[in-house]
Amino acid sequence: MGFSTALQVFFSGLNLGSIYTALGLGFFVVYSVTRVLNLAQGEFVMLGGMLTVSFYTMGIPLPASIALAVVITGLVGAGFYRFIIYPARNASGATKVFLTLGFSFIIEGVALRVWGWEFRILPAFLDTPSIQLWGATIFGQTPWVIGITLLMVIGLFFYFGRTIQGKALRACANEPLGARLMGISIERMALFSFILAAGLGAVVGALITPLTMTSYSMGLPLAAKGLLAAFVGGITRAEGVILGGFIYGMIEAITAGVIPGGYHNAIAPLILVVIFLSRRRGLLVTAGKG
Amino acid sequence: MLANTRVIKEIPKRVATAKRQNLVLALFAIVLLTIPLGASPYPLTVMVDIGLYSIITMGLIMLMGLAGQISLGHAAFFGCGAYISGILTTKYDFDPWPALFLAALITGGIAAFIGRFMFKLHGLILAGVTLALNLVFYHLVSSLIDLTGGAMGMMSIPPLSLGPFTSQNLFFNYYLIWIIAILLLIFSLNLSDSRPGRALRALNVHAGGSEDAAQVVGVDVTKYKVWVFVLSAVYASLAGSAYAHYTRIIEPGTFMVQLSAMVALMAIIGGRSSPWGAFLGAGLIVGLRQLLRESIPVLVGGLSGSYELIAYGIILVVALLFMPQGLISIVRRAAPRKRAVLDES
Amino acid sequence: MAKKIVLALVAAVFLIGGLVSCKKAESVASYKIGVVVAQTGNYAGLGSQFLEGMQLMVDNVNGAGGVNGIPLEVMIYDNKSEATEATLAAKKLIEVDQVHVLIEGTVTAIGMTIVPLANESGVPTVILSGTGLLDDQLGAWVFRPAGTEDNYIAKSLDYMSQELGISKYATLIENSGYGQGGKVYLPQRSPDYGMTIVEEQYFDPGATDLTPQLTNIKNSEAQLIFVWGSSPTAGMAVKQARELGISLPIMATPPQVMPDMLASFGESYEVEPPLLATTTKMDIWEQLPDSDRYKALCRDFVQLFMERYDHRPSLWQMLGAQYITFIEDGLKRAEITSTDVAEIRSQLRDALESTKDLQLLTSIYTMSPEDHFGQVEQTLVIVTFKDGEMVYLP
Repeated sequence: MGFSTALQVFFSGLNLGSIYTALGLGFFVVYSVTRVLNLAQGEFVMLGGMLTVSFYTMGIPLPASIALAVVITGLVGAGFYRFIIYPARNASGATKVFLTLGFSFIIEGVALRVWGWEFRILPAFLDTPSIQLWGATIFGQTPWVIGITLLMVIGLFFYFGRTIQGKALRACANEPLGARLMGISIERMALFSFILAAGLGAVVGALITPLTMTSYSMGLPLAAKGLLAAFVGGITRAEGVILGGFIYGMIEAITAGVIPGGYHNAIAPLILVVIFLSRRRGLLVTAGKG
Repeated sequence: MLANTRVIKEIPKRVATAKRQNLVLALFAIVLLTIPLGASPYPLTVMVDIGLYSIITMGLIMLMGLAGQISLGHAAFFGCGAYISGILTTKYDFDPWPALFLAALITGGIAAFIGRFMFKLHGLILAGVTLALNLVFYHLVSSLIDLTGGAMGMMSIPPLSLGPFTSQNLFFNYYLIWIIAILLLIFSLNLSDSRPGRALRALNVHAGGSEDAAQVVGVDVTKYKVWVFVLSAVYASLAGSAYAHYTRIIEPGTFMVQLSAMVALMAIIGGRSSPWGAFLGAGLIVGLRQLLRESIPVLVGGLSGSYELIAYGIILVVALLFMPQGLISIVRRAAPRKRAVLDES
Repeated sequence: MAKKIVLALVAAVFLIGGLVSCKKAESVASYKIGVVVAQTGNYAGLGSQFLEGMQLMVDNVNGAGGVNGIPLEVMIYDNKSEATEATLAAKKLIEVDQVHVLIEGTVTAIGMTIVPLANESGVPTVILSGTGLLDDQLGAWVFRPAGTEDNYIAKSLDYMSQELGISKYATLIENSGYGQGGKVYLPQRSPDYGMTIVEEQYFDPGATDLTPQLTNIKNSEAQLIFVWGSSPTAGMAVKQARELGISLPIMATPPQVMPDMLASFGESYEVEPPLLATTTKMDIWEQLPDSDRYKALCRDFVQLFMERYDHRPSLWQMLGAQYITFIEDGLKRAEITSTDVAEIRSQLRDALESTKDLQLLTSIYTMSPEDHFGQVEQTLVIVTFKDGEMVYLP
């Protein structure tokens, strides 16, 4: 593989990796606070993309469209928690996972009703043109994807690691009883985590629409990929999710260029499986606390 | 001391429970085996589908109930059975019956290989691994075009036959699949009530599957968990082979994550505390989809696809909210039986 | 008490859903057409478009009084892009709803499960699934009056070797049922035109980034890229290729130049050298010479379609309409005398099989016992793009 080809693959991997990481972070936020595996995370992404397109085509400038989309999706996330997750709070984890699945069907059906089956696309943010770098091309939207994902990661780290609320959020999952004793309302924290995940998902949706277009049914396949990426690194640690996302993205980019036919689609998850199995709980989670 | 008295009180309860269960089992078998005499082809077809899904779901329920694991990729094992049977009978001229057993053996072997690595891991990891494996299976099958026909599917799979009856006949399929289902049900119930089975269930319920507790009890939990996983794969494989000979055309899209999610859903909705839950779950989901297909076009007067999807989601959410332990908990409450102490409802 | 109600409800769902009672067969107050398409799932786009075209034609026929005075009645079920649902829906239509003819509108193996069913139950069926590979596998009851990959490959390869002088090219094929046609046929046929494929690359229907594949192609000796896909990613392939600075000619297939694809990717298609594609005459009917008999045909259909839907029809919409016309023609000639469903089905089947010189939108069709595809002539054209328009290259 020549240098420029390798560079191209590298950027492709960064692009994909950012998307998977961003997806995985949505899972992480909800899981780390509530221990719920939210399969509807992909629907938040879809809603973010679709809503942004709708507002944008109405003539609203792009930043405002995205902001509106994020707000509405956040509300959907809040409603989801309040009316579906909260009532089921004493149910088993498996039941909760399937509640999120049922919810994703509802959202998908509504999206089909509202927007139809057609794909929607957005122009690259600020119409950024492609960049040529040492023989490799970076598409205009890619710096946005990488950049904004980076911002989200830094933001989450700061929030969860440094701020009081962030630490409170983590406490809820790790030590629910202790958290309550400290006067932390677990329900409010959980609600907030859903809103945050929904908002993050919506941003991701707006980000990837110029690249991959949105349609009403993209939610579940995205959720599956985000889930795998999150698991590889260890869903209980943010660093794990990030590492997992980029590893998955890189593997996909490399195998897409190198392995013929559809086999690369089989190889990428296979490599993930091998990684899973070789490390007990995911790459970064050490035995004990997660 | 307390444990001893409990155990002593249990024994007559357990005998009564067993007798009652056998009665229900016999009734169930009789009803199922006589339905075809009165029903028309379409409902029979629906029942065949329910039977197929029940078999896969039963395996999953054992996995969830005994080994405490979720699989999000069981469609891959279903597909293994279907494709191995298909390949052996179309490309290598195998007779369908030996192919069916060979497929089950191979699928079980694959599961055993994977299972050995997986059971020392945290519960959710199996969900992720099975999901990834489902994807691997799907893409592998789609790519090996010469072997499997790829995305366009494998056709002209020969039918299963027993004497003059072949699986081109709906009745034959019905009996084949339901007899398999009933036999597997009996097997599962026995497994569930066996010593290792009860121990596993107790661990799941009371100790969250903790392996420390397992060591105290003195049962080699990991070995049994792997066996349960292998069994669940074999169940799915048997259903898959039967499916291949029934429809005679198979395509990779059938064996993707949507199906895995659906059978897992059937397990949860049916209730994973008992293999009976498989029939309840499969029956409910298949029945629900048919019901929606009947009623929604009438209500909506036109294209109903999106409404069906929305209604399906709403009903699932409602069902899970009101019956988090599955349908079987409702059945049990309506018809309570004397429970052994170790059961969780 | 509440629990008992729930139990009863549950039992009811179980029973009703599972054991739907048979409806009585009605006398022929209408000709019943059962339709199984994807309204949800991966193929919802295709299915929805197919339905639109179909519904348009049905309303047209009924508006003119039906066939021999008898209206067409359509029953539509969603197969959710799943083979098992497709089979179940078809069975229901056949056995419970007692339809006279079945239409299946999904382009992949999902619909193929209906073929043995149709042949065993004796129901004339018109399917969209399948490719030219399956000549002898349709059986006595199944028909497929549509184009096949055979057609547009021949046209494309001919153009590539004759007009462009290509001897080596690269393929960029979608990993899907649709793409598999290209994967199988292109290498098979290329030598006949003196061309070889020097680079084979693949992409997934949902991929966002095709740069690895495109870079490999750029580095090869290919003189042209043949893109074969039906998802938006195929359109994106062209966009990304141009952004990567690849200025090789690109050849595409009909699904890639349908109206919704053009709306999203039309601009990229025009970047020099502009995209080449095969498509149906309907897309460029205005540019056909008046002597071309398809011009009037397409004009009438396009106008009819645009009156109702306000945008140009796509290939799938056209096929949906075409299938109804095919059935309508069969019904007219069938001389149906009884009200017995089985007899009607049989008479219709015979009529469909004796379809002769039927002028449809994609070709003339003549069916026979040996040939249930029936395509007599090839009517695909090569087009390119300029100034926001599709340009016919005669």
